[in-house]
Amino acid sequence: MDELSLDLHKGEVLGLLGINGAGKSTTLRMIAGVLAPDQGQVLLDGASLHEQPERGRRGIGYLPERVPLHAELAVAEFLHFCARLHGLDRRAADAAVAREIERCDLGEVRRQLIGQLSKGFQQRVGIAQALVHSPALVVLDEPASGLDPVQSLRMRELIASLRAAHGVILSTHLLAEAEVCCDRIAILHRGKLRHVATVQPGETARLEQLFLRIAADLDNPAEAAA
Amino acid sequence: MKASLILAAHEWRRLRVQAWPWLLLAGVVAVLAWLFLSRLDTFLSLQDSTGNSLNLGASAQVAAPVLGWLAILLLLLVPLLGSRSIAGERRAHSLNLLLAAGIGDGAIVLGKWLGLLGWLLLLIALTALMPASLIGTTPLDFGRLAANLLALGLLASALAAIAVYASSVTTQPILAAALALLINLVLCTVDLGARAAKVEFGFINWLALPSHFGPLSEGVVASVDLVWFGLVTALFLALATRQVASLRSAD
Repeated sequence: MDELSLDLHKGEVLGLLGINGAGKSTTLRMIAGVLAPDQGQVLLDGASLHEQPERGRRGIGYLPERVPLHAELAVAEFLHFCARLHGLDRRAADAAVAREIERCDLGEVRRQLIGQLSKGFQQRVGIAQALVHSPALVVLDEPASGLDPVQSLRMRELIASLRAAHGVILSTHLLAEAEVCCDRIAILHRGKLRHVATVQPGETARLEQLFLRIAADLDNPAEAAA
Repeated sequence: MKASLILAAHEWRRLRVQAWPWLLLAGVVAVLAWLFLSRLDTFLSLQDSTGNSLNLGASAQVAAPVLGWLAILLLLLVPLLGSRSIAGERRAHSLNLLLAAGIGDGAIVLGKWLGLLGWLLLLIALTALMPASLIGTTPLDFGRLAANLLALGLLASALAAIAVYASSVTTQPILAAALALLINLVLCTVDLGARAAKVEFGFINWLALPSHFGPLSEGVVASVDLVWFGLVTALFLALATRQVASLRSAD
């Protein structure tokens, strides 16, 4: 990644858009603290997460592209562990788990082993683990990837509902998803930020044109010149 | 430290809800129970035939050999039990959960090590019940038994650190188990050549695991042996921490 500077406010959903290999996941992994940047920093409420990882622990919830789950545990047990790992005490963790099970509609599977759940439920457990400690910033890497249309719709509704209490940054290569979920989009290409735009209703065609132009220009210099 | 304890408790729970750790535990306890009963039978026969004129003790004749066998089994068992601690997480892509939790690389490694060590201490405690069952029936050398258990605890600590380190260098648990087994083997045999050449107090002898486990299990508690186990544990935990930290810069 290079020359990347982004800001996000509470109550806002920012979408990172780009083709495969554009650097979306790498960017999100750096924001979440999984990868350490060679240069630059991630600030949360003005505090550097590199210098104060504890802030990140409490302030950021992260759902990677491949959902990090412990298949041999029950849903509620796993979420309780995630809450405790992010610094909540036992009582607060119990309350947080109950809240996220309700919000992510996991009540019917709360005692089931995660390994036995469908892909859609596993994705919801992944979202719940990212939210269980009530982070200020929620980082979602292709949250609707691999879901069927109904599950994708529910996921988008869930993401939209997060706006009320969190800042959300998500990656996607689906323009329709970006239009529905995001307030702004940032288009990445080959590790660089190419464009930031505010999303207006019914702008899919314009966004698509912009996205394809950026990708095509840089992928095929000869075509761009022509 | 709190995050490490939470992680350790979680590791314990994960081992507890799976079948294979229980099967390994049951297998080892069954083998040791058979050895214990066999040694006890021999001990009782000798007592009957000699009227205890040889002044044999149950601690030396029954308890110590069983605990000695446990040490050998630990060398084989710990690499298997610990092989998935980090490699399994990387393979399942769930290490991101810990890396993103802001708890620090050292805390992750410490939590994994403590969780594994807890399981091993359970195994040692179950084995210790065998000689403990002789209390009240024959005189026992409690000092030696305590030293034996201390030696096993320290051995478990060092082997768990080695297993966690081996698990941090690969995403394949089977390779991690093989690497940990290899390190254990090297630590056990590093001074074989020196011993064959009648060198018994050189640095190479100091490096070898049996040079420290042997005296401890015979009841001789020397600080040099305690320090050796502490150093091996700290060294491999530090290497594992370094390895986990390097994952943050690899993509």
